Amino acid sequence: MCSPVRSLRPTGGPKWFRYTRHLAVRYDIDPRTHESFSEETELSVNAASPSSSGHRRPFPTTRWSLLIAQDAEDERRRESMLRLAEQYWKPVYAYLCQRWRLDATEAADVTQAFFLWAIETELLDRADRSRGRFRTWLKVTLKHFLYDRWRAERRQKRGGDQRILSLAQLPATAFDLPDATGRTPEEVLDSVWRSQVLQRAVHILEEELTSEGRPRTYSIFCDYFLAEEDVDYARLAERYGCKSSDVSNALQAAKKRYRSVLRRVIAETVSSEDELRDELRWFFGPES
Amino acid sequence: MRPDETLPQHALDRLRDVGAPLAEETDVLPESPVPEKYRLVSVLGRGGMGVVCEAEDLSLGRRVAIKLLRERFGDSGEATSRLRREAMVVARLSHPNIAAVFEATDRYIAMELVDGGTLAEQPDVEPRRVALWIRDAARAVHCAHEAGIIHRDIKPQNILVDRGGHRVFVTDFGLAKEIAVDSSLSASGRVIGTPAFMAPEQARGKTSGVGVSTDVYALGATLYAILSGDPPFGEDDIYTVLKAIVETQPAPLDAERIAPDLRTITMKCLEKSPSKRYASAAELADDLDRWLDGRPIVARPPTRLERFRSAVKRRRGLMIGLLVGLVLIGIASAVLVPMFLSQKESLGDARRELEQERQDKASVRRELNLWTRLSQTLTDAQLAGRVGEVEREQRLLDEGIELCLADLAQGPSAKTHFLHGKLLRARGRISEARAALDQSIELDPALSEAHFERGTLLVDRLTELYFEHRELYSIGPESPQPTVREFSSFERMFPQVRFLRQLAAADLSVDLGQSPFYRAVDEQFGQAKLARLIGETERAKELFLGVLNEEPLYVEASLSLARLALEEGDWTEAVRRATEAIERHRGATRAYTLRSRANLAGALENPSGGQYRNKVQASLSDADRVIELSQDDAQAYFERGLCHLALRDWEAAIEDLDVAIARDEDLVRAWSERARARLEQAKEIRSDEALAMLREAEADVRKAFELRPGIPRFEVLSGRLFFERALAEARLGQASSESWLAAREAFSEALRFWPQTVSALCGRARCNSALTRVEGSEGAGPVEMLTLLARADAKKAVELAPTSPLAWRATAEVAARAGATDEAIQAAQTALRFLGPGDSEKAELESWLTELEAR
Repeated sequence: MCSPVRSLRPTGGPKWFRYTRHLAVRYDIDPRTHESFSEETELSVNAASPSSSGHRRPFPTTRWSLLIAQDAEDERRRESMLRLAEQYWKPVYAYLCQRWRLDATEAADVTQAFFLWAIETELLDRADRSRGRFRTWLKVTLKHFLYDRWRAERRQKRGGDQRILSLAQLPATAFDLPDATGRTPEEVLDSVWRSQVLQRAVHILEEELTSEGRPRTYSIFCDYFLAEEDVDYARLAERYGCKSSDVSNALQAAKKRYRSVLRRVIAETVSSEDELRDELRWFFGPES
Repeated sequence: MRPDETLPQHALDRLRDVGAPLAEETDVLPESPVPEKYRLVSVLGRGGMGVVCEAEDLSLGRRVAIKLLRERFGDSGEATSRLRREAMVVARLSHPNIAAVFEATDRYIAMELVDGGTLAEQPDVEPRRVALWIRDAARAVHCAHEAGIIHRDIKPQNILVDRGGHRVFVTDFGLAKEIAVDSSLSASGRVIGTPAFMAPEQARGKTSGVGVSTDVYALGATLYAILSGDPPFGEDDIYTVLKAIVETQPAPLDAERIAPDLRTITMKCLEKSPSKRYASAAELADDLDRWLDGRPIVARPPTRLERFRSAVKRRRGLMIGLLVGLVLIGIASAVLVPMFLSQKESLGDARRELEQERQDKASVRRELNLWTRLSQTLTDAQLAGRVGEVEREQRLLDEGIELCLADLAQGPSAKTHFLHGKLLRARGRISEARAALDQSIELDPALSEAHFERGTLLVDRLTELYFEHRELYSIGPESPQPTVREFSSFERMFPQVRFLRQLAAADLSVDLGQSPFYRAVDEQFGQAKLARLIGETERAKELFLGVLNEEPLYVEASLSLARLALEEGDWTEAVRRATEAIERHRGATRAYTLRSRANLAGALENPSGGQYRNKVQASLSDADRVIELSQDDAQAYFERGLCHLALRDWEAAIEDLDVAIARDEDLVRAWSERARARLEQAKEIRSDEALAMLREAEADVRKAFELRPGIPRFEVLSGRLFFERALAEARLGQASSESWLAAREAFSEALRFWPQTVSALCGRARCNSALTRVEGSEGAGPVEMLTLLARADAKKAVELAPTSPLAWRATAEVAARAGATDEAIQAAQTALRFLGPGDSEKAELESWLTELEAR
């Protein structure tokens, strides 16, 4: 039979004093000396702080840069955030499904709550320039939200049923997620992010080409790149009743246009040229 | 297509291929800060800090080249001043082979456009044409020298050719220095320029030697590179190149294609000793002219005797000894001779003064001798470390330490103490280093170098301390973390830390002035550390990046970035930065440690992930390397122990932790982790031995508590130990309420610190639930209350961590004891779903579930 030990904690003696001694031995700090340290040191620390000089920033204004600009009005920030939320709700949704194993309805609810929270409360404090790109910010903030806020929010809002995204009207296929076995939630988020961006660029390409009166160019682009079966120029030429060189030209033009649209879409989530370059490199880099 | 339509994978793949060229785009015009009279046409090239564009000057209708700062350097004072300096330097020079500057501001330079590309881009040029180009370039460089300017970065990429290939232009005076003012940036160890084209004196980071002959060397190296196709010492691995530049001779040029005299001229430029090169760039140009005209050249190929001599001379210890001797004789005669000549009124006075002078001289000699030798030792050790010759690096440092000790035996000296401290620190003997630096500062509070060294040392220790603190207070990935993770709250808890931080800040605020041991980039690094210390993380990051941009070899900066990423939980970035440091310094122990930690943390964040094992293995092999590099380091064994724990190899973990504890009894986490390893092992054994093992674990936790009281995770650990003991006792038929109560109290204590500790909630729930069935536990409370408490705890745990198998398992157990079998079955099934595939608890839980279902 074991001895009746009630605790492994040492008894007697103030805890912090003991720890202070430990610290003194281990990190060469004499606990007595800190009293004698003068105010001067504080001053020299302050003197060393930076004086940041404001320079004109050459990168064009994007949704994200607008959102994180120091002097933007709240209303415009809200608007930007809402637009970004509409485009990027799905990576968040995918992350939630994977990380928290939530079912579809619940994940959609939390997604709503997250963006609502981002827009209404913490946004102004948290989305500062130092956070870098939108994608990075999203990941960090999402984790933070999940750990600290979600439950509290949910308790408060239960029954409140606030919605900022109209997810309910979307077809069921809009919630389809890729196979996530063996992948971390972050990897799933990134992967869904990539497909959202690629798809959104196709959508914009369609709008632009159609409004410019070139629906055929878009149609050829879709037939060639998006259809399941592989088609060659000759068959497309036959289908559209034109020469195969016309098909080739249309495809070249559409590809070029697609690239430029894609660049714009990605640029919306960053705030400088260097960030854009990094983000592009990440986007087309190996999927981890 | 509808905006929310989901495309199939094959379509997405094709779209990605279509977009892929975007990743390589380099011809994107920057949004430029240039006035409207210029229209940017295209990008000509991108460098580390700048972008050069072709532009049209609309007011004059001519084409110009415009050099802009890259956006990320737009606000950096360093980059702006470099740009302005370049403009001012070039504006002073008027030479047909230097591109003229038209206009310059802080943001851009507009200059003459040269559009034939750089020398590096010219295909197969015949040697005569190369000689012509280098001759003209040498004349331009000489013009700069006459104006007191050293280029310092001459290479094929910095010499442009016009479209016809007739005229060359020397460009990029961004690193140029004025000879007269040049001492501040030219301290030992600083590597300025492009390694492949660096002169030996530059490669060693020597400053006194960098001058006209450095540029002559680079012109020769450029000549060599265009003639042979490769720089004199290749360009693959930067460290090998630097080492080769200092120690070996370049391969001879192709004798069939290149005339002997041209080869001789090239080799004369590439002499290791500056005095044996051409005395000026003009002399090089003249000799090339002679060769082009078919006249005899001045340079002579080395004779056999000379080759022998140069071989001897490469053993440079002798040389340095001689040099030091000469300097000393010089000093002695300058001081002694006037003294002997002067008339003294009193012979006694004269004698005393003589004695005083002699002592002063002796100490000057001592210092000079030591500083010279040790600055060499430090540079050599650094070089050795970079190329991975760790043993050599350590040996050199040890020799240096011996020298310091021998010197200190003759009497105290602030400078020697400082050197001693610096060497000790480089050798990883941190406490001793701190003591030596304190002594140095005590002797001479004005010695700024000692302050600076101590400041950086303190920041390192503070971050280590903070890391340990954070680890101690982390309470498992499933629980929401308490706020002690913030540095400021850490500091509020411990006034000593505040003192340490202030001391470091004061130390780092010193003005280093001109020190042979530190460079401008070191000061920038110090500023970065200071920023980090006062919580300006983003600014610190920016400064660290600035340091890396200035000097890519600055391993410490990579390490600091890795550590920051680690603190922010960005494991990938931490791994990337640590790898970068390792690639640049094979002997960087701390880099391996950081990478090991980052990989381990990344794995533990997602224990059921597919990458789990791979990441832990990667972490383990780094930990192995750390042990290999620093054999007696307790921390290294501790870190490897953690890897073994993550791999569930309890034996190996205990073995490593034993070593760690034997080497450093104060390593508090080693005690607690050993307890954890023993606990896990005991759980697997399930026999009489288990009880003994648990007792050992209890002793470990007790020791951990002695070292650091009040750590919630130790409470959780003791709770788990008592819990296991209670189970073991029950198995042996010795069931009593004692252990259950002890466990419950420990868990409660943990929850007093942090009410959201999931593991403690689960533990307490299971204890209370178990107590409902133990005889003699009436003191614990009525059965109904215990059940209620247990259910409340389990419910809260599930709410806090809906994917934690621990929480579901506790729920199942509590429900089963309370008679809610259906709920128990459901909860157990959920727990099983969240358990990783290799988890040892799986089998146990499965059999329990079967039993439950059978009821």
